[in-house]
Amino acid sequence: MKKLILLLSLSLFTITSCSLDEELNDKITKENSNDLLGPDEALASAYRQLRSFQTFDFQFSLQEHPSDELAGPTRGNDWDDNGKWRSLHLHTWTPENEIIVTSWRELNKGLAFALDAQTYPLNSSQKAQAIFIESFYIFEITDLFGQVSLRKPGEDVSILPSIQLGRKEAIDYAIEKLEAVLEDLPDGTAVTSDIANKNAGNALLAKMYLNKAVYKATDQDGKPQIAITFLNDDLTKVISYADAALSGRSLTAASNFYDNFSPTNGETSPELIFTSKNTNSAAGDVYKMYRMTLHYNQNPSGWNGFVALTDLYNKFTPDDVRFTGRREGLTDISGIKTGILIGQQYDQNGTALISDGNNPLIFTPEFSLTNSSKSNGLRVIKYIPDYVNLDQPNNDWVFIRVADVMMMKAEAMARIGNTTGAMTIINDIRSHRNAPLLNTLTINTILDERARELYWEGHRRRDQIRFGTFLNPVQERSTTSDRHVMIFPIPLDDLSVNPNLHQNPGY
Amino acid sequence: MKNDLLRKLFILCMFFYIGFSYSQSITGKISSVDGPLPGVSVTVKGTANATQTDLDGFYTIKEADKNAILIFSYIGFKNQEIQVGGKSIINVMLKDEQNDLKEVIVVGYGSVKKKDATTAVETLKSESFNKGISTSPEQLLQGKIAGVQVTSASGEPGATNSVRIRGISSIRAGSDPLYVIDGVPIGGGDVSAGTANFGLGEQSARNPLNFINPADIASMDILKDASATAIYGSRGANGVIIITTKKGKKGAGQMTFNISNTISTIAHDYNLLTAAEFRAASPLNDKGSSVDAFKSILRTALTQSYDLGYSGGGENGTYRFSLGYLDQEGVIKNSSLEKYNASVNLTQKILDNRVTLESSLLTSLIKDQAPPLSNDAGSEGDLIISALKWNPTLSLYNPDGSLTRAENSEFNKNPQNLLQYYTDRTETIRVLSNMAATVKIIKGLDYKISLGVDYSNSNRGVGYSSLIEANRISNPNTPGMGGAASKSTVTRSNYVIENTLNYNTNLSEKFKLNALAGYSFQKFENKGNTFIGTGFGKYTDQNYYLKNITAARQYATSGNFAQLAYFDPSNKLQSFFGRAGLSYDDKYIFSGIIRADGSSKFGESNKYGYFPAASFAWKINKENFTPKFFDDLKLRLGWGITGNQDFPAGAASTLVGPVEGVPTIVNNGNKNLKWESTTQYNIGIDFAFINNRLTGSVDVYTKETNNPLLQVLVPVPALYSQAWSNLPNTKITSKGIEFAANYKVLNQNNFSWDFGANFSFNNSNIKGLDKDGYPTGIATGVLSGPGLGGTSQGHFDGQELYQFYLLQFEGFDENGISKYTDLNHDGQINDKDKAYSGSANPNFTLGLNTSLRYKSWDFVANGYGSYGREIYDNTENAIFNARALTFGNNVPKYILNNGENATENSNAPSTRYLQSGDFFRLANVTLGYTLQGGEKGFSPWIKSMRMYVTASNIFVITPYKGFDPEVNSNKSVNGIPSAGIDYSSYPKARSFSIGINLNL
Repeated sequence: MKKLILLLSLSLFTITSCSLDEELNDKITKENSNDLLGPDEALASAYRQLRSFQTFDFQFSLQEHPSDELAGPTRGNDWDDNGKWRSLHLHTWTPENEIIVTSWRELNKGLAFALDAQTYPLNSSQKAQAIFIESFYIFEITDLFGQVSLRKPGEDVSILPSIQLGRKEAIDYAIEKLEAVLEDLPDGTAVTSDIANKNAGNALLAKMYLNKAVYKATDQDGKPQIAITFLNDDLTKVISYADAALSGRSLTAASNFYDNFSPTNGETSPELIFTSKNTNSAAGDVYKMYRMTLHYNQNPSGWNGFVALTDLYNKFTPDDVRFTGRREGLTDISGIKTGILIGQQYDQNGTALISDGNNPLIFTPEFSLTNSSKSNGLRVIKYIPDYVNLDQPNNDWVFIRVADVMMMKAEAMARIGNTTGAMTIINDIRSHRNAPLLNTLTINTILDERARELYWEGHRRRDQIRFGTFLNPVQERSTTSDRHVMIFPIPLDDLSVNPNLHQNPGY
Repeated sequence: MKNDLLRKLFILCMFFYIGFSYSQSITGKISSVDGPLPGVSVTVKGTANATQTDLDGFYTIKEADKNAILIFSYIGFKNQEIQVGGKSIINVMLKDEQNDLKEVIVVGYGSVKKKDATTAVETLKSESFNKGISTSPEQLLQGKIAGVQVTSASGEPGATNSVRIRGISSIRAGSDPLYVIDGVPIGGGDVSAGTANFGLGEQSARNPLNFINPADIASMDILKDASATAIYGSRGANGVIIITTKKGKKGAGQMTFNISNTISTIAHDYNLLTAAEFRAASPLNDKGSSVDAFKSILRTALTQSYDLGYSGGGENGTYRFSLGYLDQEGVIKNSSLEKYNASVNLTQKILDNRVTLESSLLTSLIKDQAPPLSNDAGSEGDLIISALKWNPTLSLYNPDGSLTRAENSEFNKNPQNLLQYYTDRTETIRVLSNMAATVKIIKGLDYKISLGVDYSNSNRGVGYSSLIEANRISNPNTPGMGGAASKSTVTRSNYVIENTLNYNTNLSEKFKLNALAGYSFQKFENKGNTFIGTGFGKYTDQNYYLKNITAARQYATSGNFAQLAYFDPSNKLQSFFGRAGLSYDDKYIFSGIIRADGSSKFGESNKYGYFPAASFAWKINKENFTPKFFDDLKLRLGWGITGNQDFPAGAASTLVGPVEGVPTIVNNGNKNLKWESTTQYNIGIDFAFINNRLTGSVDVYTKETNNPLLQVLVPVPALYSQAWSNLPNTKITSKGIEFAANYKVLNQNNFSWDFGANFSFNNSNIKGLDKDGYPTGIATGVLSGPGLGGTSQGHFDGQELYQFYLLQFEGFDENGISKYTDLNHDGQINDKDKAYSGSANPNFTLGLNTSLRYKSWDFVANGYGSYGREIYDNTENAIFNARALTFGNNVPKYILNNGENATENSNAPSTRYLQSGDFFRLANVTLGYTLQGGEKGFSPWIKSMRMYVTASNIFVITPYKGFDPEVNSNKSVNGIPSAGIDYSSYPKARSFSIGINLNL
């Protein structure tokens, strides 16, 4: 009987001792995390999100593959990937394209982190930085997709976003928000370019004013318009914001051009205006920038993927430091050169590398989008492999640098009619890059110079649209494309969860 | 025929009775299936004349009239009466009472007699289990139960099996049934760790159910229908499998000892080109040798298994102890599973039999070893891919004995190198124990308390030598990582406390009531960590890395190879449940269930879920109007609502966790999160006729899952693009028919022959996805290999589940380029030309089995099949095409002259690689011979000895060209599992075992 009582009391004990409160262990609920997750952390998360730009799986590929400077050929069975790269180059993508879907989601995720940060008690500088990041994302989404959804602070994801903007309104919204807090951004230097400082704020405003006309140009049928009317008011703003952005910054000596992309670029290059920070212990996927293009037998061993088009290659004069050259810390370690890799490839000792069988590894300008050999196509090295840690390199990702802003200013001047002023700026850049000075300048000279300076950095599609050349045939795309491809489609699943989004015309 | 025989016997007896009526002495031997039975009482019916069998089961009873009837009785066995009929020797085989109680089914917190069951439940006893090597319980019931589909992921020792009861009711991971082992509901999920991907792909975790020794299992009860599984509430939607281990029986101690030895070889492989054929087909790639690289990774695998059991019991208690050892080699080198089991089962009655104490303890240690095999190897390939495509004219070894390195070694890896420079070992300890006390409070009212603990700890170490041909680790031209190693630990635990009150009473002469009320509380924990080191400098022995990972020079803190530690949110489940069964006149039986489950996982707004069920049975054979022809005829009707709550704990709350050390929001919480619920209706008939020789059942069911749980897209901008949510408009429906029958063709003392068959039809489809944000369906089935990466299948609105969605391959054009149907006639072939191409889910499955016993011989054969399903051969897609030959890679013979362009054709995913996965497999055949022991037998100290041979996987009838049509490589996307995709899967073996069962 004693045991019976014991058992009964034990059972009573078990009945009364249980609670269904969550034991979260390695996590904490947001409600209980006030002393952990504050303004500093929320802003840090928003900054960290900017790292998603560093991979070729997202926005980078949307800005580069459809352009006149990069393509992703299929090699044997490699890199076919259901044609996702091919369709980007051929302008035949569909809303299901994986790169389009993930870009849309990643950009909106970044936007959400910037918005979320603003729900914390930020100081004025922090608030301005969060708004800078918000504007930056709105600009990118507007540029690629033409529609932006926004939530007011505190709006839960279970309800639809309360603000819905078309591209005409979205660009004004982004500009207006950033202009309102521009003066609150911190002062900065090239070494602290990973913080959204005043230079970065001014540079982004210059960029948004320069592209604004693109987003205002829509045809009757809703498709983007090819002809773009730039307003002098906007162009004047581009010039003044560019001047402000360049204050305290300068171009580096020609021999140091690749310092912009070296493992220590954040510490050594004076040309950086806005970057995303990487270290050997905490880095984004910037390593993919070299792995995606190098051949397997190079060091680092690459994935033998993307190639440069001859349209790009043919733009250079031989001595241009941006074209091709040796670099200490790279060529002496692996034989790899900077810039565009063409012809026989060597190792650090000058021994010729081989590809299939005993064939020499020779990168050729020709390639076929559907059926390339392992050595077809020119390769590009801008970010210098970090041999300290090849998979977690220290190289900071460059969003905006001095030459880009200088060319924005030159372009604005040229569009206003001041070609002399524009040529002076372009020649200033060229003199710092070992390129012969120009005697004449047309608007397309600026587009070409932007290619030479900024190739494979994720700008090209936007530049070509602004200059009206995006739809033209290029190597391995023989037809002129329809206007609708100047904006990417909204992923179908996202259309379905948010009825306020509408598919872009033409898809 | 049998009746005729009996009649003749009877006449014969009468003749003897009339002619020779006198008393005689009768002797004989009494045995059970396990051997001679000592202490059996033998009584002449209606007299006090009685005796007992001796230690060897022999008896002699004197002065038995020749027309007397002898009664043989023994505790735990069914009484048997035999007419003497003038015989002087009567040997009797007593039947296990439990065996006859075959008709008793465990239904969760209790049991019912099969003839009283109101729901679709089936039981499988140990003697009916599949024969041959089994490492986990699911394999024992494969093909045995209608509506239960067991698919092994591959032929690897210890590979996982997917078990689907009555189709699929959930599209997320978590479609497996709930397992209840000796009363302890165990948690789903892997108990061992996966690995990091260093280029050769990720290796999968092991089957969490391997820990049970199949030799310890007494029975498995399968609860298929919601009116039965509702007693498990929010975990019952996928069906429940209740596993009961063997217990001791009253009587003197019995020892059983089983030994088996098995030889396994690969059952079927791709018919690759020989060196000579390759040379002829691709002379440019001729390297002058002749090798079979695929054969070089294979072996004739040996498996040994030993089981020792000792059991017995007295008036007040029983005991059983067992030890098990299994050492199983896989047919691919370096793959093996070694398992140690020990278990104890005790029962004891105390306080004048008022209290019954029971305890069971199952312990296991499993050591797995694996070669570099993966479900997601990319262009580099894993061991199987490398071996399949190796140039058969290129020797694996250089003249000096070192390993050859192929040209393009970034793609073409020497399989011997991958074997030699890779180590993957997992050690898993799992202990499951349960203790219970049952108290008889008053007559008919029992109270039971039970406490269960399930604890597992798994350590996995994977080492890649700096000499392995994995591009990121070592490359002839680059420093690479210089070796890599990972060490992972996973610890899971699960505690459960249950209290039940059970009341049995006769309300009136005809009304009988059985009522159960219970309370349970269960808590699950899951934690672990992974430690990854790279850069081992001069150390090249990967085994050393695992012994001392501090030899590494790099430990990443973020990125691809970062260290990992986690302690998942605990998952607590508090439940109240009740069941009432009411029967009237033993003709009409009604049963009702209600369970309330409260879970810490559910959102604040939905803390408790309620799961009701009702069922009714009508024993038609008890009605007067039923023809006598029927020995049993019962109609069953059932309805019930069950749930599925298999989603990560913590998903309801918005959580903050460190990302690179910075506190960050890590998910989109959902306060409204709740279980998904499945409503099921069932109509069934149980029948038996011809003196119970033909028995069986037919069931028709329909299941509908509402509010399926999924990580759904949320409208952007959102911190995370998905949130766990219940899809409000989506419904998953399964409909099916099940048929099972068993026919005793012969049932004589010395000769019996049974034949059993089961069939089931099922169709599972999904509707409403378009309204829930998935107009293009939920994609899964990611393809791997060079240039492959998209998804191949998914769940689409209005379609069968696991529908392949592919370009339609029409053959090759005149240039040898693949032609696809331009479905939308826009002159282009792209995503818009994809079409639904068939489901990976079978529509029809069947199982056939037969058993024969003739004197001392026994014979069993089991087979099963599956029809109406498609398989995507990702392996073929990745490496077998005409161009591969041009690149110097081997291909199967059918690629030669297939009309494909050998330089330009693309291997885009299409129906070219989709094949019918229909099959029938003769799974196992066993022939045994039993020698009776004892003093008059062949050995005085052995009660019986059975020797047997078993052949497993004897043949497969299938049109499928890959290794085996029963395959399920894990190609899941965002936690949505795939089905029917074959990528580099471990080939199945054909095995021959010889074994001995000893009873001492």
